[in-house]
Amino acid sequence: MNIEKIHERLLQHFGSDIVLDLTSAQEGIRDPFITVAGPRIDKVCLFCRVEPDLALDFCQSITGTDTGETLTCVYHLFSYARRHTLVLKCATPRSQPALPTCTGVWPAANWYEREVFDLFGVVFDGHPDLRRLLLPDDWVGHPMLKDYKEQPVYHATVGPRNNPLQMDIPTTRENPLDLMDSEEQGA
Amino acid sequence: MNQLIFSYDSGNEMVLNMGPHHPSTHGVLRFIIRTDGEIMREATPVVGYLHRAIEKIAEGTPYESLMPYVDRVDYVSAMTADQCWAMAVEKLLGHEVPERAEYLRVIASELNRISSHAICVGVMAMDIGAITPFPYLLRERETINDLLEELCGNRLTYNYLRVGGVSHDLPAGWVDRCQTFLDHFDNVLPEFDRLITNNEIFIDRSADVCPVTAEEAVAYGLVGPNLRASGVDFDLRRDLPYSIYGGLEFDVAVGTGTMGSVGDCWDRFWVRCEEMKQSVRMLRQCLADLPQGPVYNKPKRIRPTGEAWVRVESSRGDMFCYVVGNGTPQPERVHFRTGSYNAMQIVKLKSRGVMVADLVAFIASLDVIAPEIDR
Repeated sequence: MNIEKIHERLLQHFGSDIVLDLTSAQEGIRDPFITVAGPRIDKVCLFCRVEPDLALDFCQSITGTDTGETLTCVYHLFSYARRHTLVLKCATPRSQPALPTCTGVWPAANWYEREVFDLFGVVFDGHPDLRRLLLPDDWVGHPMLKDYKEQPVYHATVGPRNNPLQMDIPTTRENPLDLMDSEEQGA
Repeated sequence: MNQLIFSYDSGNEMVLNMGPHHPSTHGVLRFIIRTDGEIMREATPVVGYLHRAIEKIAEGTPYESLMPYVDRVDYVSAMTADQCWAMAVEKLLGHEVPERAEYLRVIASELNRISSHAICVGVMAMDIGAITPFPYLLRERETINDLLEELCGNRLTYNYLRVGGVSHDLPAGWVDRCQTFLDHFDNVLPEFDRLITNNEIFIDRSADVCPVTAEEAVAYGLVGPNLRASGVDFDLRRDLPYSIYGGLEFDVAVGTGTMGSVGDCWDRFWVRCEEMKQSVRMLRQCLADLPQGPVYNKPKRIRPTGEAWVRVESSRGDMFCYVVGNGTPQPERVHFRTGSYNAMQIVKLKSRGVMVADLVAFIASLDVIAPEIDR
Protein backbone atom coordinates (compact mmCIF):
# COMPACT_ATOMS: atom_id res chain seq x y z
CA MET A 1 0.00 0.00 0.00
CA ASN A 2 1.51 3.35 -0.92
CA ILE A 3 1.31 6.38 1.33
CA GLU A 4 -1.47 8.09 -0.66
CA LYS A 5 -3.75 5.12 -0.05
CA ILE A 6 -2.77 4.94 3.62
CA HIS A 7 -3.55 8.65 3.92
CA GLU A 8 -7.01 8.14 2.35
CA ARG A 9 -7.67 5.20 4.64
CA LEU A 10 -6.72 7.21 7.73
CA LEU A 11 -8.76 10.21 6.56
CA GLN A 12 -11.85 8.01 6.13
CA HIS A 13 -11.55 6.66 9.64
CA PHE A 14 -10.42 9.68 11.61
CA GLY A 15 -11.53 12.71 9.59
CA SER A 16 -9.54 15.75 8.61
CA ASP A 17 -9.40 17.15 12.17
CA ILE A 18 -7.04 14.42 13.31
CA VAL A 19 -5.26 13.33 10.16
CA LEU A 20 -3.84 16.46 8.60
CA ASP A 21 -2.08 16.82 5.28
CA LEU A 22 0.18 14.51 3.38
CA THR A 23 3.58 15.91 2.37
CA SER A 24 4.50 13.93 -0.69
CA ALA A 25 7.96 13.23 -2.06
CA GLN A 26 9.33 16.35 -3.73
CA GLU A 27 12.59 18.23 -4.05
CA GLY A 28 14.52 17.54 -0.85
CA ILE A 29 11.80 15.51 0.89
CA ARG A 30 12.91 12.00 -0.09
CA ASP A 31 10.33 10.23 2.02
CA PRO A 32 6.71 11.39 2.19
CA PHE A 33 5.08 11.79 5.58
CA ILE A 34 1.63 12.33 7.10
CA THR A 35 1.03 14.99 9.74
CA VAL A 36 -1.25 14.00 12.59
CA ALA A 37 -2.80 16.05 15.41
CA GLY A 38 -0.62 15.45 18.48
CA PRO A 39 -3.24 14.55 21.12
CA ARG A 40 -4.59 11.68 18.97
CA ILE A 41 -1.32 10.14 17.85
CA ASP A 42 -1.82 7.03 20.04
CA LYS A 43 -5.21 6.30 18.44
CA VAL A 44 -3.78 6.69 14.94
CA CYS A 45 -0.84 4.45 15.82
CA LEU A 46 -3.10 1.77 17.29
CA PHE A 47 -5.23 1.83 14.12
CA CYS A 48 -2.10 1.49 11.97
CA ARG A 49 -0.96 -1.44 14.09
CA VAL A 50 -4.16 -3.52 14.24
CA GLU A 51 -5.84 -2.96 10.86
CA PRO A 52 -5.03 -6.03 8.75
CA ASP A 53 -4.45 -4.06 5.55
CA LEU A 54 -2.02 -1.67 7.28
CA ALA A 55 -0.41 -4.06 9.84
CA LEU A 56 2.45 -1.69 10.74
CA ASP A 57 3.85 -4.00 13.39
CA PHE A 58 7.45 -2.74 13.58
CA CYS A 59 8.05 0.65 15.15
CA GLN A 60 11.46 1.49 13.69
CA SER A 61 12.02 4.69 15.55
CA ILE A 62 10.36 7.47 17.46
CA THR A 63 12.41 10.60 17.59
CA GLY A 64 12.07 14.34 18.04
CA THR A 65 13.17 17.37 16.09
CA ASP A 66 13.34 20.92 17.34
CA THR A 67 11.72 23.04 14.64
CA GLY A 68 11.90 26.34 16.49
CA GLU A 69 8.31 27.13 17.42
CA THR A 70 7.23 23.56 18.13
CA LEU A 71 8.77 20.21 18.88
CA THR A 72 7.95 17.63 16.23
CA CYS A 73 7.92 13.91 16.96
CA VAL A 74 8.58 11.61 14.01
CA TYR A 75 7.29 8.02 13.97
CA HIS A 76 8.85 5.63 11.45
CA LEU A 77 6.75 2.49 11.03
CA PHE A 78 7.20 -0.62 8.93
CA SER A 79 5.07 -3.67 8.17
CA TYR A 80 6.75 -7.07 7.94
CA ALA A 81 3.69 -8.64 6.34
CA ARG A 82 2.91 -5.92 3.76
CA ARG A 83 6.44 -4.53 3.34
CA HIS A 84 5.33 -0.92 3.37
CA THR A 85 6.58 2.02 5.39
CA LEU A 86 4.80 4.97 6.98
CA VAL A 87 6.18 8.16 8.47
CA LEU A 88 3.92 10.06 10.88
CA LYS A 89 4.71 13.46 12.32
CA CYS A 90 2.99 15.37 15.07
CA ALA A 91 3.81 18.70 16.63
CA THR A 92 3.58 19.68 20.27
CA PRO A 93 3.95 23.15 21.76
CA ARG A 94 7.43 24.04 22.97
CA SER A 95 6.21 25.63 26.20
CA GLN A 96 4.51 22.46 27.48
CA PRO A 97 5.47 19.56 25.21
CA ALA A 98 3.20 16.57 25.83
CA LEU A 99 1.96 13.66 23.73
CA PRO A 100 0.06 10.46 24.56
CA THR A 101 2.22 7.38 24.84
CA CYS A 102 2.40 4.55 22.31
CA THR A 103 3.83 1.97 24.71
CA GLY A 104 0.49 0.12 24.59
CA VAL A 105 0.77 -0.18 20.82
CA TRP A 106 4.40 -1.30 20.55
CA PRO A 107 6.37 -2.28 23.67
CA ALA A 108 9.46 -1.08 21.78
CA ALA A 109 8.15 2.49 22.13
CA ASN A 110 9.04 2.43 25.83
CA TRP A 111 12.71 3.31 25.40
CA TYR A 112 12.15 5.43 22.29
CA GLU A 113 9.85 7.69 24.27
CA ARG A 114 12.15 7.75 27.27
CA GLU A 115 14.94 8.90 24.98
CA VAL A 116 12.78 11.67 23.47
CA PHE A 117 11.80 12.75 26.99
CA ASP A 118 15.44 12.70 28.05
CA LEU A 119 16.82 14.67 25.12
CA PHE A 120 13.86 16.92 24.20
CA GLY A 121 11.70 17.08 27.32
CA VAL A 122 8.51 15.81 25.67
CA VAL A 123 6.26 14.32 28.37
CA PHE A 124 4.49 11.18 27.22
CA ASP A 125 1.20 10.92 29.13
CA GLY A 126 0.49 7.41 30.36
CA HIS A 127 4.05 6.15 29.95
CA PRO A 128 4.71 3.47 32.62
CA ASP A 129 8.30 4.43 33.40
CA LEU A 130 9.13 7.92 32.13
CA ARG A 131 12.67 8.47 33.41
CA ARG A 132 15.83 9.70 31.76
CA LEU A 133 17.45 6.97 29.66
CA LEU A 134 20.85 8.13 28.42
CA LEU A 135 21.69 11.01 30.74
CA PRO A 136 22.13 10.85 34.53
CA ASP A 137 18.96 11.23 36.60
CA ASP A 138 20.09 14.55 38.09
CA TRP A 139 20.96 16.18 34.78
CA VAL A 140 19.41 19.59 34.20
CA GLY A 141 17.84 20.46 30.87
CA HIS A 142 17.21 18.65 27.61
CA PRO A 143 20.33 18.81 25.43
CA MET A 144 18.88 18.27 21.97
CA LEU A 145 16.89 21.51 22.15
CA LYS A 146 18.51 24.14 19.96
CA ASP A 147 18.59 26.74 22.75
CA TYR A 148 20.07 24.35 25.33
CA LYS A 149 22.77 25.79 27.55
CA GLU A 150 24.99 23.33 29.37
CA GLN A 151 25.10 23.77 33.14
CA PRO A 152 28.41 25.35 34.18
CA VAL A 153 29.35 22.67 36.72
CA TYR A 154 28.10 19.09 37.04
CA HIS A 155 29.34 17.20 40.12
CA ALA A 156 32.54 19.25 40.24
CA THR A 157 33.16 18.66 36.52
CA VAL A 158 33.39 21.95 34.68
CA GLY A 159 31.05 21.82 31.72
CA PRO A 160 31.53 24.12 28.76
CA ARG A 161 35.08 25.07 27.99
CA ASN A 162 36.09 28.08 25.96
CA ASN A 163 37.23 27.53 22.43
CA PRO A 164 40.97 28.27 22.52
CA LEU A 165 40.82 29.64 18.99
CA GLN A 166 38.29 32.27 20.06
CA MET A 167 39.90 33.14 23.36
CA ASP A 168 41.41 36.56 23.74
CA ILE A 169 44.83 35.66 25.09
CA PRO A 170 46.82 38.71 26.19
CA THR A 171 50.26 38.70 24.61
CA THR A 172 53.14 41.03 25.13
CA ARG A 173 54.12 40.99 21.48
CA GLU A 174 51.94 41.31 18.40
CA ASN A 175 53.43 38.42 16.49
CA PRO A 176 55.54 35.50 17.74
CA LEU A 177 57.67 35.86 14.62
CA ASP A 178 58.82 39.25 15.91
CA LEU A 179 60.35 37.47 18.85
CA MET A 180 62.38 35.23 16.55
CA ASP A 181 63.56 38.20 14.54
CA SER A 182 64.72 40.11 17.57
CA GLU A 183 66.52 37.05 18.96
CA GLU A 184 68.28 36.56 15.67
CA GLN A 185 69.29 40.17 15.61
CA GLY A 186 70.59 39.96 19.16
CA ALA A 187 72.68 36.95 18.25
CA MET B 1 29.05 -7.66 55.78
CA ASN B 2 25.60 -9.18 56.03
CA GLN B 3 24.19 -5.79 56.79
CA LEU B 4 25.69 -4.41 53.60
CA ILE B 5 24.30 -7.10 51.35
CA PHE B 6 20.85 -7.08 52.83
CA SER B 7 20.42 -3.34 53.16
CA TYR B 8 17.86 -3.45 50.33
CA ASP B 9 16.19 -6.53 51.76
CA SER B 10 12.52 -7.02 51.06
CA GLY B 11 11.52 -10.44 52.29
CA ASN B 12 13.94 -12.96 50.84
CA GLU B 13 14.70 -10.82 47.85
CA MET B 14 18.03 -9.17 47.19
CA VAL B 15 18.78 -6.24 44.93
CA LEU B 16 22.19 -6.63 43.34
CA ASN B 17 24.16 -4.67 40.82
CA MET B 18 25.70 -6.46 37.87
CA GLY B 19 28.06 -4.07 36.18
CA PRO B 20 28.72 -1.37 34.98
CA HIS B 21 32.14 -3.01 34.97
CA HIS B 22 31.53 -6.70 34.72
CA PRO B 23 33.51 -9.08 32.49
CA SER B 24 30.41 -10.46 30.81
CA THR B 25 28.54 -7.25 30.09
CA HIS B 26 30.29 -6.37 26.82
CA GLY B 27 31.29 -2.83 27.55
CA VAL B 28 29.92 -0.59 30.22
CA LEU B 29 26.50 -2.03 30.89
CA ARG B 30 24.63 -2.32 34.15
CA PHE B 31 21.79 -4.50 35.34
CA ILE B 32 19.90 -4.09 38.57
CA ILE B 33 18.92 -7.62 39.51
CA ARG B 34 16.18 -8.50 41.95
CA THR B 35 16.89 -12.04 42.93
CA ASP B 36 16.03 -14.69 45.43
CA GLY B 37 19.06 -16.97 45.30
CA GLU B 38 20.00 -18.15 41.84
CA ILE B 39 16.59 -17.46 40.26
CA MET B 40 16.04 -13.89 39.20
CA ARG B 41 12.80 -12.04 39.66
CA GLU B 42 13.82 -9.37 37.19
CA ALA B 43 16.89 -7.75 35.67
CA THR B 44 16.50 -4.09 34.77
CA PRO B 45 19.07 -2.77 32.30
CA VAL B 46 20.55 0.65 33.04
CA VAL B 47 22.19 2.22 30.00
CA GLY B 48 23.83 5.52 29.20
CA TYR B 49 27.34 4.99 30.57
CA LEU B 50 28.79 5.35 27.07
CA HIS B 51 26.59 8.19 25.87
CA ARG B 52 28.79 10.46 23.75
CA ALA B 53 26.07 12.70 22.33
CA ILE B 54 26.95 11.81 18.74
CA GLU B 55 23.58 13.15 17.56
CA LYS B 56 24.29 16.52 19.18
CA ILE B 57 27.85 16.60 17.82
CA ALA B 58 26.39 15.95 14.36
CA GLU B 59 24.46 19.21 14.48
CA GLY B 60 27.72 21.15 14.47
CA THR B 61 29.71 18.93 12.12
CA PRO B 62 29.73 19.01 8.31
CA TYR B 63 28.18 15.95 6.65
CA GLU B 64 31.47 14.48 5.41
CA SER B 65 33.25 15.13 8.69
CA LEU B 66 30.77 13.09 10.69
CA MET B 67 32.05 9.81 9.22
CA PRO B 68 34.68 9.15 11.94
CA TYR B 69 32.05 9.75 14.61
CA VAL B 70 29.70 7.27 12.94
CA ASP B 71 32.50 4.70 13.19
CA ARG B 72 32.21 5.05 16.95
CA VAL B 73 28.47 4.41 16.98
CA ASP B 74 29.29 0.74 16.51
CA TYR B 75 33.02 0.17 16.73
CA VAL B 76 32.82 -3.59 16.31
CA SER B 77 31.11 -3.22 12.95
CA ALA B 78 32.10 0.28 11.87
CA MET B 79 31.90 -0.41 8.14
CA THR B 80 28.14 -1.05 8.13
CA ALA B 81 27.56 2.01 10.30
CA ASP B 82 29.57 4.07 7.81
CA GLN B 83 27.49 2.66 5.00
CA CYS B 84 24.31 3.68 6.81
CA TRP B 85 25.45 7.30 7.15
CA ALA B 86 26.88 7.52 3.62
CA MET B 87 23.66 6.14 2.14
CA ALA B 88 21.53 8.55 4.18
CA VAL B 89 23.43 11.60 2.89
CA GLU B 90 23.49 10.25 -0.65
CA LYS B 91 19.74 9.71 -0.55
CA LEU B 92 19.23 13.25 0.74
CA LEU B 93 21.41 14.67 -2.03
CA GLY B 94 20.15 12.30 -4.72
CA HIS B 95 23.80 11.46 -5.38
CA GLU B 96 25.04 8.53 -7.46
CA VAL B 97 27.79 6.15 -6.37
CA PRO B 98 30.10 4.48 -8.94
CA GLU B 99 29.50 0.76 -9.38
CA ARG B 100 33.00 -0.26 -8.32
CA ALA B 101 32.58 1.73 -5.11
CA GLU B 102 29.35 -0.14 -4.35
CA TYR B 103 31.21 -3.43 -4.77
CA LEU B 104 34.04 -2.27 -2.53
CA ARG B 105 31.52 -1.15 0.10
CA VAL B 106 29.82 -4.55 0.10
CA ILE B 107 33.17 -6.39 0.20
CA ALA B 108 34.30 -4.29 3.16
CA SER B 109 30.94 -4.62 4.95
CA GLU B 110 30.77 -8.38 4.57
CA LEU B 111 34.35 -8.80 5.79
CA ASN B 112 33.43 -6.64 8.74
CA ARG B 113 30.30 -8.71 9.33
CA ILE B 114 32.39 -11.88 9.55
CA SER B 115 34.75 -10.29 12.07
CA SER B 116 31.86 -8.87 14.10
CA HIS B 117 30.00 -12.20 14.20
CA ALA B 118 33.28 -13.93 15.07
CA ILE B 119 33.57 -11.71 18.11
CA CYS B 120 29.93 -12.35 19.04
CA VAL B 121 29.94 -16.15 18.83
CA GLY B 122 33.42 -16.42 20.34
CA VAL B 123 32.53 -14.19 23.27
CA MET B 124 29.24 -15.99 23.81
CA ALA B 125 31.08 -19.31 24.12
CA MET B 126 33.57 -17.68 26.47
CA ASP B 127 30.86 -16.14 28.65
CA ILE B 128 29.27 -19.56 29.02
CA GLY B 129 32.60 -21.01 30.07
CA ALA B 130 34.24 -22.35 26.91
CA ILE B 131 37.41 -20.30 26.62
CA THR B 132 39.04 -22.17 23.74
CA PRO B 133 36.86 -21.16 20.73
CA PHE B 134 37.38 -17.44 21.28
CA PRO B 135 41.11 -17.24 20.42
CA TYR B 136 40.49 -19.44 17.38
CA LEU B 137 38.09 -16.86 15.96
CA LEU B 138 40.15 -13.93 17.19
CA ARG B 139 42.97 -15.27 15.03
CA GLU B 140 40.72 -15.12 11.94
CA ARG B 141 39.60 -11.65 12.92
CA GLU B 142 43.22 -10.50 12.95
CA THR B 143 43.54 -11.52 9.30
CA ILE B 144 40.38 -9.58 8.46
CA ASN B 145 41.72 -6.56 10.34
CA ASP B 146 44.92 -6.82 8.32
CA LEU B 147 42.94 -6.93 5.07
CA LEU B 148 40.84 -3.93 6.05
CA GLU B 149 43.94 -2.08 7.24
CA GLU B 150 45.38 -2.49 3.77
CA LEU B 151 42.21 -0.96 2.36
CA CYS B 152 41.98 2.13 4.52
CA GLY B 153 44.78 2.26 7.07
CA ASN B 154 42.66 1.55 10.13
CA ARG B 155 41.98 -1.67 11.94
CA LEU B 156 38.77 -0.94 13.87
CA THR B 157 37.29 2.47 13.13
CA TYR B 158 37.74 2.53 9.41
CA ASN B 159 36.55 5.89 8.08
CA TYR B 160 36.71 4.17 4.66
CA LEU B 161 33.46 5.29 3.10
CA ARG B 162 32.86 8.72 1.66
CA VAL B 163 29.69 10.43 0.58
CA GLY B 164 29.78 9.34 -3.06
CA GLY B 165 32.12 6.37 -2.85
CA VAL B 166 35.09 5.07 -0.89
CA SER B 167 38.40 6.71 -0.01
CA HIS B 168 40.86 4.32 -1.67
CA ASP B 169 40.86 1.73 -4.42
CA LEU B 170 42.14 -1.79 -3.72
CA PRO B 171 45.91 -2.11 -3.26
CA ALA B 172 47.78 -4.42 -5.65
CA GLY B 173 47.26 -8.12 -4.97
CA TRP B 174 44.49 -7.53 -2.42
CA VAL B 175 41.91 -9.66 -4.25
CA ASP B 176 44.26 -12.65 -4.19
CA ARG B 177 45.01 -12.19 -0.50
CA CYS B 178 41.30 -11.94 0.28
CA GLN B 179 40.66 -15.06 -1.82
CA THR B 180 43.34 -16.93 0.10
CA PHE B 181 41.73 -15.91 3.37
CA LEU B 182 38.28 -17.08 2.20
CA ASP B 183 39.68 -20.47 1.16
CA HIS B 184 41.29 -20.77 4.59
CA PHE B 185 38.12 -19.61 6.37
CA ASP B 186 36.05 -22.34 4.68
CA ASN B 187 37.83 -24.87 6.88
CA VAL B 188 37.60 -22.79 10.03
CA LEU B 189 33.83 -22.87 10.41
CA PRO B 190 33.43 -26.68 10.30
CA GLU B 191 36.23 -26.85 12.85
CA PHE B 192 34.39 -24.30 14.96
CA ASP B 193 31.19 -26.35 14.68
CA ARG B 194 33.00 -29.43 15.93
CA LEU B 195 34.57 -27.42 18.70
CA ILE B 196 31.53 -25.66 20.14
CA THR B 197 28.31 -25.44 18.09
CA ASN B 198 27.52 -29.13 18.44
CA ASN B 199 29.22 -29.48 21.81
CA GLU B 200 26.90 -31.22 24.25
CA ILE B 201 27.72 -29.01 27.23
CA PHE B 202 27.30 -25.87 25.14
CA ILE B 203 23.92 -27.09 23.87
CA ASP B 204 22.83 -27.81 27.44
CA ARG B 205 23.75 -24.29 28.46
CA SER B 206 22.16 -22.47 25.50
CA ALA B 207 19.26 -24.52 24.11
CA ASP B 208 15.84 -23.65 25.57
CA VAL B 209 17.35 -20.66 27.39
CA CYS B 210 15.31 -17.46 27.12
CA PRO B 211 13.40 -18.31 23.93
CA VAL B 212 11.92 -15.23 22.24
CA THR B 213 8.81 -15.88 20.19
CA ALA B 214 8.29 -14.26 16.80
CA GLU B 215 5.48 -12.06 18.17
CA GLU B 216 7.64 -10.80 21.02
CA ALA B 217 10.57 -10.22 18.70
CA VAL B 218 8.47 -8.04 16.36
CA ALA B 219 6.68 -6.18 19.15
CA TYR B 220 9.93 -5.34 20.93
CA GLY B 221 11.53 -4.40 17.64
CA LEU B 222 14.30 -7.00 17.56
CA VAL B 223 16.17 -6.82 14.28
CA GLY B 224 18.73 -8.73 12.26
CA PRO B 225 20.06 -12.07 13.49
CA ASN B 226 18.02 -11.84 16.72
CA LEU B 227 14.81 -11.46 14.72
CA ARG B 228 15.68 -14.23 12.29
CA ALA B 229 16.57 -16.58 15.15
CA SER B 230 13.00 -16.13 16.40
CA GLY B 231 11.70 -17.51 13.11
CA VAL B 232 10.89 -14.29 11.23
CA ASP B 233 12.24 -14.70 7.71
CA PHE B 234 13.32 -11.15 6.97
CA ASP B 235 16.63 -9.78 5.80
CA LEU B 236 16.95 -6.26 4.44
CA ARG B 237 19.66 -7.40 2.02
CA ARG B 238 17.23 -9.78 0.36
CA ASP B 239 13.80 -8.21 0.99
CA LEU B 240 14.52 -4.50 0.53
CA PRO B 241 17.84 -4.72 -1.31
CA TYR B 242 20.16 -1.73 -1.36
CA SER B 243 23.58 -1.23 -2.94
CA ILE B 244 24.36 -4.36 -5.03
CA TYR B 245 22.77 -6.94 -2.71
CA GLY B 246 19.90 -7.44 -5.18
CA GLY B 247 22.30 -9.15 -7.60
CA LEU B 248 23.97 -11.47 -5.09
CA GLU B 249 22.94 -15.03 -4.36
CA PHE B 250 22.71 -16.01 -0.72
CA ASP B 251 20.44 -17.80 1.73
CA VAL B 252 18.91 -16.29 4.83
CA ALA B 253 19.36 -18.38 7.95
CA VAL B 254 16.21 -18.60 10.09
CA GLY B 255 16.00 -20.16 13.53
CA THR B 256 14.11 -23.43 13.65
CA GLY B 257 14.66 -24.62 17.19
CA THR B 258 16.95 -27.46 16.14
CA MET B 259 18.31 -28.05 19.65
CA GLY B 260 15.47 -26.70 21.77
CA SER B 261 12.75 -24.18 21.02
CA VAL B 262 12.61 -21.50 18.34
CA GLY B 263 14.40 -18.30 19.30
CA ASP B 264 16.50 -19.70 22.12
CA CYS B 265 20.13 -18.72 22.71
CA TRP B 266 21.43 -21.60 20.59
CA ASP B 267 19.37 -20.44 17.61
CA ARG B 268 20.79 -16.94 17.87
CA PHE B 269 24.28 -18.43 18.00
CA TRP B 270 23.65 -20.71 15.04
CA VAL B 271 22.12 -17.95 12.86
CA ARG B 272 25.32 -15.93 13.23
CA CYS B 273 27.47 -18.93 12.33
CA GLU B 274 25.38 -19.45 9.20
CA GLU B 275 25.59 -15.76 8.31
CA MET B 276 29.37 -15.96 8.32
CA LYS B 277 29.14 -18.75 5.72
CA GLN B 278 26.75 -16.67 3.60
CA SER B 279 29.05 -13.66 3.84
CA VAL B 280 31.86 -15.79 2.45
CA ARG B 281 29.57 -16.74 -0.45
CA MET B 282 28.74 -13.09 -1.11
CA LEU B 283 32.41 -12.09 -0.93
CA ARG B 284 33.36 -14.71 -3.54
CA GLN B 285 30.70 -13.39 -5.94
CA CYS B 286 31.77 -9.78 -5.41
CA LEU B 287 35.46 -10.54 -5.94
CA ALA B 288 34.67 -12.46 -9.12
CA ASP B 289 32.44 -9.75 -10.64
CA LEU B 290 34.37 -6.70 -9.44
CA PRO B 291 34.01 -4.10 -12.22
CA GLN B 292 36.63 -1.55 -13.22
CA GLY B 293 36.12 2.17 -12.94
CA PRO B 294 36.29 5.09 -10.52
CA VAL B 295 35.66 4.57 -6.80
CA TYR B 296 34.74 8.08 -5.71
CA ASN B 297 32.21 10.46 -7.22
CA LYS B 298 32.83 13.52 -5.09
CA PRO B 299 29.70 15.62 -4.59
CA LYS B 300 30.29 19.27 -5.56
CA ARG B 301 28.40 20.83 -2.74
CA ILE B 302 26.80 19.14 0.29
CA ARG B 303 24.14 21.54 1.49
CA PRO B 304 20.93 19.56 1.27
CA THR B 305 17.48 20.52 2.43
CA GLY B 306 14.63 18.19 3.31
CA GLU B 307 14.83 14.85 5.02
CA ALA B 308 15.53 11.19 4.36
CA TRP B 309 15.89 7.93 6.22
CA VAL B 310 17.66 4.70 5.33
CA ARG B 311 17.90 1.23 6.77
CA VAL B 312 20.99 -0.92 6.47
CA GLU B 313 21.48 -4.53 7.52
CA SER B 314 24.29 -4.04 9.99
CA SER B 315 25.98 -6.89 11.86
CA ARG B 316 23.58 -6.32 14.74
CA GLY B 317 20.62 -5.98 12.42
CA ASP B 318 18.60 -3.23 10.87
CA MET B 319 20.42 0.05 11.49
CA PHE B 320 18.25 3.09 10.93
CA CYS B 321 19.42 6.61 10.17
CA TYR B 322 17.18 9.66 9.89
CA VAL B 323 18.73 12.87 8.64
CA VAL B 324 17.22 16.33 8.21
CA GLY B 325 19.05 19.04 6.28
CA ASN B 326 18.55 22.79 6.44
CA GLY B 327 20.61 24.11 3.53
CA THR B 328 23.79 24.62 5.56
CA PRO B 329 26.89 22.37 5.57
CA GLN B 330 25.77 20.90 8.92
CA PRO B 331 22.70 18.71 9.33
CA GLU B 332 19.71 19.99 11.30
CA ARG B 333 19.06 16.63 12.95
CA VAL B 334 20.60 13.18 12.78
CA HIS B 335 19.18 10.14 14.51
CA PHE B 336 20.53 6.59 14.67
CA ARG B 337 18.52 3.65 15.91
CA THR B 338 20.57 0.52 16.24
CA GLY B 339 20.08 -3.19 16.77
CA SER B 340 21.51 -3.40 20.30
CA TYR B 341 19.18 -0.64 21.49
CA ASN B 342 16.12 -2.75 20.71
CA ALA B 343 17.72 -5.96 21.93
CA MET B 344 18.43 -4.42 25.32
CA GLN B 345 14.77 -3.60 25.95
CA ILE B 346 13.64 -7.21 25.84
CA VAL B 347 16.08 -8.25 28.61
CA LYS B 348 13.73 -7.03 31.33
CA LEU B 349 10.86 -9.11 29.97
CA LYS B 350 12.81 -12.30 29.36
CA SER B 351 14.87 -12.22 32.57
CA ARG B 352 11.92 -13.11 34.82
CA GLY B 353 12.46 -16.49 36.44
CA VAL B 354 15.82 -17.09 34.78
CA MET B 355 19.06 -18.17 36.48
CA VAL B 356 21.69 -15.45 36.89
CA ALA B 357 24.16 -17.54 34.86
CA ASP B 358 21.63 -17.80 32.03
CA LEU B 359 21.25 -14.03 31.93
CA VAL B 360 24.91 -13.91 30.91
CA ALA B 361 24.22 -16.36 28.09
CA PHE B 362 21.17 -14.37 27.03
CA ILE B 363 22.96 -11.00 26.84
CA ALA B 364 25.84 -12.58 24.94
CA SER B 365 23.48 -14.24 22.47
CA LEU B 366 21.76 -10.91 21.75
CA ASP B 367 25.16 -9.53 20.68
CA VAL B 368 24.70 -6.32 22.62
CA ILE B 369 27.39 -3.69 22.11
CA ALA B 370 27.10 -0.93 24.71
CA PRO B 371 28.30 2.06 22.62
CA GLU B 372 25.66 1.24 20.04
CA ILE B 373 22.91 1.57 22.64
CA ASP B 374 24.12 4.85 24.07
CA ARG B 375 25.57 6.50 20.98
